[in-house]
Amino acid sequence: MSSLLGLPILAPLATALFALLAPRPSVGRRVGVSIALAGMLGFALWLVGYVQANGPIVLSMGGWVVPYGIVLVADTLAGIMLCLSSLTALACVLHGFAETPPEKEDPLRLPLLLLLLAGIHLSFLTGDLFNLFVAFEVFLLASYALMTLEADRRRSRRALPYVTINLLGSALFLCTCAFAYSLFGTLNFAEIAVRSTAMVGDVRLDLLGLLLLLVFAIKAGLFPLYYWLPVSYPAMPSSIAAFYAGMLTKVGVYVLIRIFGTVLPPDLSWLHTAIAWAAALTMVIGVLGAVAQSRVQSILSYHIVSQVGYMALAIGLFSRFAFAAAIFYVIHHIVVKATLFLVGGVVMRVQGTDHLDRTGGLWKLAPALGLAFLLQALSLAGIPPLSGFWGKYMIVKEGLSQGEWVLVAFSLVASILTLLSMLKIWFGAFWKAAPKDAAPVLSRSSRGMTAVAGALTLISLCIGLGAGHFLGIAEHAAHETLDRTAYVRTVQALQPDQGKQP
Amino acid sequence: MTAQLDTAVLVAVLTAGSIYLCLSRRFLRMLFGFLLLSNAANVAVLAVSGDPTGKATATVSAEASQVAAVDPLPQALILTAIVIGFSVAAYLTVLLYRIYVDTGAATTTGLERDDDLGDVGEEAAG
Repeated sequence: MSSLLGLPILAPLATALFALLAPRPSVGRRVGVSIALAGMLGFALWLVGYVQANGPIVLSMGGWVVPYGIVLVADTLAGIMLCLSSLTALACVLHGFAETPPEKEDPLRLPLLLLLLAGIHLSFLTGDLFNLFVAFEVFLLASYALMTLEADRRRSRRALPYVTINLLGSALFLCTCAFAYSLFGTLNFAEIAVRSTAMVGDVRLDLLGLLLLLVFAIKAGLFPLYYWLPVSYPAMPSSIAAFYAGMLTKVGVYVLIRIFGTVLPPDLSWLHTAIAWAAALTMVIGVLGAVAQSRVQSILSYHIVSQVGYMALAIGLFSRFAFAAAIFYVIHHIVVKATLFLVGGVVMRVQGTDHLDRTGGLWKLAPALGLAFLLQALSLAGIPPLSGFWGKYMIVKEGLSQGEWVLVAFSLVASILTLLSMLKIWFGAFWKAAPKDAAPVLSRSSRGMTAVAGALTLISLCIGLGAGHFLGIAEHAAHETLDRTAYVRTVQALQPDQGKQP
Repeated sequence: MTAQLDTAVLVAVLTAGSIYLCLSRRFLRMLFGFLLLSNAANVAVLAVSGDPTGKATATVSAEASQVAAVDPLPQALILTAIVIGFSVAAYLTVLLYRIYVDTGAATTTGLERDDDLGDVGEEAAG
């Protein structure tokens, strides 16, 4: 049973090898990759159900017992993240297929995307701090390469901020790992959880928490470490940008939930307050950046920053309900954000630009695309009964019950400004008349791209209308994440004579 | 673990030098800055191994664990980190060269200019 846990990591690696062995992009290669991704999605869905019913699964790599070996742990939260990443990858790959005919596709695009996916999956499953560092490096390297793979002369430089900030982050993370090892004598999450509880009040533990926050804030794009994101994301092809927008910052959010919820003791309340305030600033500054932009993909990129603020605010409020809100928000956000980037890709495809001064008339031309955009934009702004409303409602409710009026006010202001800048895209690209000199046409490939965005919109609608079901899963995941003793018990359960000892 | 002031000073000097180089506008200096930075981090990890006179560590046999030895695990970690650092350095070299080829300048001057991303036409997109 537990050996199945290697699948979400090995399957993308094997598929990447398959795609490399068939280096010429062809229909067969595309079909193979799509089937593999659909299989991964199916496995992840099954895993969530299984883990919810039977508790977390633990796999100790190489059969080494817990304090010595690396473990993979799949609980409900990890399962949810695996589902979301497989779903986003599948949608973005299909969108890319509709966008580019096989003979024009870059032969390395699919293998790199799959390697990126393998790294992301490892970071969701790992139960070891240094292994998390390795997982980050695996997906970062793949993401560097993918980012510049199809960049033309004007765009290559835009990867520089992304690469340099992540190099700094990696060096910092490595030092933090060393620091954690010197403090605890272990890098295993469960062991750190046990030993850090005994160290509460020690200033070194606070310092470790601060360093970890800094490292993952870079990944998540929290204020003031977000500037790289809106520079680099709009320069990518839309199907790749949609995957980055959906998943990469959310890996940072996931790790924040994992580290501050499970690994570090809940007594570091000053750090939680720091996260909440950084989150509030992130929300407002991100959305102000979005209001100032006039390109679809740039506006959406700033919105990633702003929306990460909501999730981080929920983490900062630090209660079981707030964690459930954060997890629900992640589920909602990944689907919505990926769809919006894919819609932005269709806009660019149909009109040849995504600058709002030179677009227009899409509502008449492609009502289905307009509907998908409208639903997802309103969901992002938090209009009931769409999925974004429930996430925001829970965060505001928890904020009010904790008496954090200022933080709640920040989040509501950001929400209104989100609506404003979404309306800007709506009027600029969809509602106003088409520019005179351009005659936009809806080609077959645009229709295919719209279909993918439409399918994601339907999933998002289901999340909004069936919010009760998804909230139940999110609450279960939040409960598991915050129940540190149960996590430790699960990981240490396979200890005694089941495995090798040095 | 005994205090390792010498290692701490070494890491501090390496980090300070690397930050100074990273902040430079010239690509070559930036590249050396990031190479130095990863080495500074590696030395910091190495320091965690401790002094040979320090604690007894996990070793194969019970007798061997009585012998003073350094902790081998951080050295395994560095090995991984060196490999990763090498691959990232290779990528950074290529990226900086690519930007040099694309923009004709090996400095960051002018890179921050908010350029028009340009329009991807139907034909250009495929």
